[in-house]
Amino acid sequence: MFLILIRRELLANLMTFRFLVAMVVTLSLVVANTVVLIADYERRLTSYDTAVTEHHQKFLRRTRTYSEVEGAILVDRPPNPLSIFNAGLDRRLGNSITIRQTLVPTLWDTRSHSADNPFLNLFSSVDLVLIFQVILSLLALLFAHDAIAGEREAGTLRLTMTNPVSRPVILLAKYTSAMVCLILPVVMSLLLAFILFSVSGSISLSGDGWLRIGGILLTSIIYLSAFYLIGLLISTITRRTPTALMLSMVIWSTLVLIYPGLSVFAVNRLWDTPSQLKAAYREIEQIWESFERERMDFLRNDEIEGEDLNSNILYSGSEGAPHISDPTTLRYSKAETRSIRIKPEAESLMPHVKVYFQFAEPRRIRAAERTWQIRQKALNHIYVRKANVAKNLMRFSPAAMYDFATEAWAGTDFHGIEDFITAVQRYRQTIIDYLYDKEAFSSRKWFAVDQGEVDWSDLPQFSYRRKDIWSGIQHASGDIACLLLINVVLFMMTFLIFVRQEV
Amino acid sequence: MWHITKRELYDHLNSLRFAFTTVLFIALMIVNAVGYLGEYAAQSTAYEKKVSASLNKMRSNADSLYKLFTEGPGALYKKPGSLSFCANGGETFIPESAEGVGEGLFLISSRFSIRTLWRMKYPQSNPNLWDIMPDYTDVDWGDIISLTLSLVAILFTFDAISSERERGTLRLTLSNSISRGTVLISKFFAALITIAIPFLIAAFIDRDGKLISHKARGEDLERLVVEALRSESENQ
Repeated sequence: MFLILIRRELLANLMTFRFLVAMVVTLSLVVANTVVLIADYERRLTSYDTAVTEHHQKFLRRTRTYSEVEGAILVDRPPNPLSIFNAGLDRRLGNSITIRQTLVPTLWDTRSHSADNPFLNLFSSVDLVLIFQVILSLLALLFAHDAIAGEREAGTLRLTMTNPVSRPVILLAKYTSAMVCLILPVVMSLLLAFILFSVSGSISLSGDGWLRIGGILLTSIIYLSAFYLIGLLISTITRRTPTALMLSMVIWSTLVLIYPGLSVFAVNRLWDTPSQLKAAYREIEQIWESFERERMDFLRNDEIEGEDLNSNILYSGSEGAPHISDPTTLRYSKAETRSIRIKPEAESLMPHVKVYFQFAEPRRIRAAERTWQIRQKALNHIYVRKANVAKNLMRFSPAAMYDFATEAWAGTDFHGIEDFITAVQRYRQTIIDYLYDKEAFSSRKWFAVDQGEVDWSDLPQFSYRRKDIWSGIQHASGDIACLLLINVVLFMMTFLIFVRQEV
Repeated sequence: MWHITKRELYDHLNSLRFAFTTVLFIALMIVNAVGYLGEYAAQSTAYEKKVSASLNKMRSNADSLYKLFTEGPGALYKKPGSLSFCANGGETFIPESAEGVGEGLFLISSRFSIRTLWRMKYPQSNPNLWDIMPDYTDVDWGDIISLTLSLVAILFTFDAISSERERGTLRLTLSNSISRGTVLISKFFAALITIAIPFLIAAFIDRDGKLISHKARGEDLERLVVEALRSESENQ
C-alpha cells in the first residue's frame, strides 16, 4: 500500500507544470552559471599564476641584501575550485599578502592581485548553492502547500483513508515521493556541472573535493526537506489551498529573501566601532616607541659618532624606512632597509655597524610580535565578532544555515581563509628562522652590496595546502545538526496535528 | 463600481494578509529608519568640516597663481546623498574624497628646478576586501519595494478573480447590470488602496523619524513622493 501511495504521489508531483518549470529554470540557470563560474575560476587561476611568477621575479630582481627582504616577498592565495558551488568569501577577500619581519600578517593586510574591476564585488555572485537555495526551496513549498490541503478540498484524502492505510503512512509516502522529486533536480544539476567541468578541463577535483561535494549534496537534501516540511505543516494547518499558498509564499520570502539581508544590515548599521580600536592603536604605538628609544640609546652610546648611521658609512646605494600606519586596521610598523656601498674610510667601523644590526633587528622582530598579540585580540574583537553576531542572527533562517554549512564544505568560509592566513604567518616565521640560520643580522650582506649580493637559491618557498575534509565536517556540523533538528521538530508537529485532525 | 470597490476593500482590510503586510512594512521601515537615522546628519557635519578645512588650506595656498597651479586645490570631497535611505546604491563603496596634489620637483640643474602641474590622486578603492560579513542587501526603500511590496501586491491579487469564480460569486456579481471592465477596475483600485495604506503608514513613520534629524528640503520630499508613486504603480 505504501508503495502504491508513493507511486501515485510521485506521478502527481512529476507530471505537474510547476515541476517542469522549476526543472527547466534550475537546469538552465545551472548550466549558464556554471559556464560563467568556470570561466571566472579560470581567469582567477591565470591571474594567480601570473601573480606568483611576477612576484617571485620581482623579488629576485629587487632584493639584493638581507634587510631588503622586508616587504619584498609577496604571497598569493590560490582560488578555490569549490567556490563554484559556494563562492563565500573566496572571491571577495584580498588574495595577496606581503611578508614583513616587522608585521605579522593578518587578513587585514591583504590586497588584491587581480586586475579586475573591484566594483564587481558590489554584486553578490550567483553560485550553484544560491540557485538551490532560492529556486528549489520555492519548489519544495509549491509541492507541499497543497499536499494535504488540496486533497482535503478535493475529497481524495477521505477516499484514501477509507482503505486500510494509517495516517502516518500517508504522510510518509507524501514526504518520500516529494523528496525524490526534489533531489532529482539537485542531482541532475550536479551531473550537468560535472560534465561542464570535464569539458573545460581546468577544474581537477581530488578525492577530498568529491567528498566535499558529497557533503554539499547531503546538506542540500536536508535543507530542501526542511522547506518541504514547513510547507507540509502549513498545508495541514490551513483549510484552503490559496491560504496555504499565501502563507507559504510569505514564509519563503521572509526566510530566504528578506530576513538574512535584514539581520546583516541591522548589525552593520548598529554596530559601533568600539573605542578599543583607539586604545589598541595607542598601545601598539607605544611598543614601537619603546623600541625606538632602545635603538637610539644604543646608537648614542656606541663608538660611531652621531646618531645617523648612514652619513658615516654610506657611499652610495639605496636606503628606505618603510613605515606603515593605519589606525582602522591597526597596521603599524617601522623597518629599515638598505642596499648600500660602504665608504672606504668607513671600513674600520664595520664591526660596530654589525653589532648595531645584531642588536636592533631581533628586537624589531620581537616588537612586531608583541604588537601582534594586541592587534589580533582587537581585530577579532571588532571585526570577527561583528561578523559572528550577524551570522548567528541570520541562523534563524534555514536558508542562511544552508549557506553557511555549504560554505564550510567548500572551504570558502572564514575558517578556510583563516587557514591560509595561518599558513602565511607560519611562512613568515620560516623566513625569520632562515635569516637567523644565515646569521643575516650580523652579516655584511644585511646592508651592503659591495661584497656581492645575497644568493636566494635556498630561500624557503611558500606552499599552501588546504586542510582536509575533517575541518569542513567540523565547521559544517553545527549548522547541519540545526537543520536536522528543524526537520525533526517540523515532522513531529505535522505528524501530531495530522493524526488528530478530522478530515 | 464604488460599491464593488468598497466591498473588495473591506474584504482585503479584514484579511490576515493585510495585518501581516502592515506589520512587515512597519518592521522593515523601522529597521530602515534606525539604520540610517542620524547617519546623514553626522555625514554632512563631517563633510562640512572637511570642506572648510580644505578651503582654508587652498586659501592659504592661493597667494600666488603659480602656487595654486603647482599645488593643486587640495582634497575634494563627495557630498553625502540625503536620499541614500531610498536607494543606497554604491554610496558606501565610492571613495569619499579625491585629492589634488602637487607632484615633486623636476631638477634641470642643481640651481634650477620646476614643479610639475598638480594632478588628481584617487584613493585605491577596494570595496569589501576585508569585509568578512556575510553577503547582504541594503534595506533601503528600493529593496523594500522591489522585494517585499511586489510580493505583497501579488499576494493580494493572485486569487482576486479565480477564487470568486470557484465560489461562484463572480457569476452572481456579473448577473447584476455591471460590465466586466467595471469589475476588473474596481478590483484594481481596491487592491491599490489596500497596498498603499500600510506602505504609506510605514513610509510616514520612517520619514518623520528621519526628518527630525535630516532637515530635508522640499525638493527631497517631492522626490520621495515620486518614488512612492512609482513603486505603487509599478506593482500592480
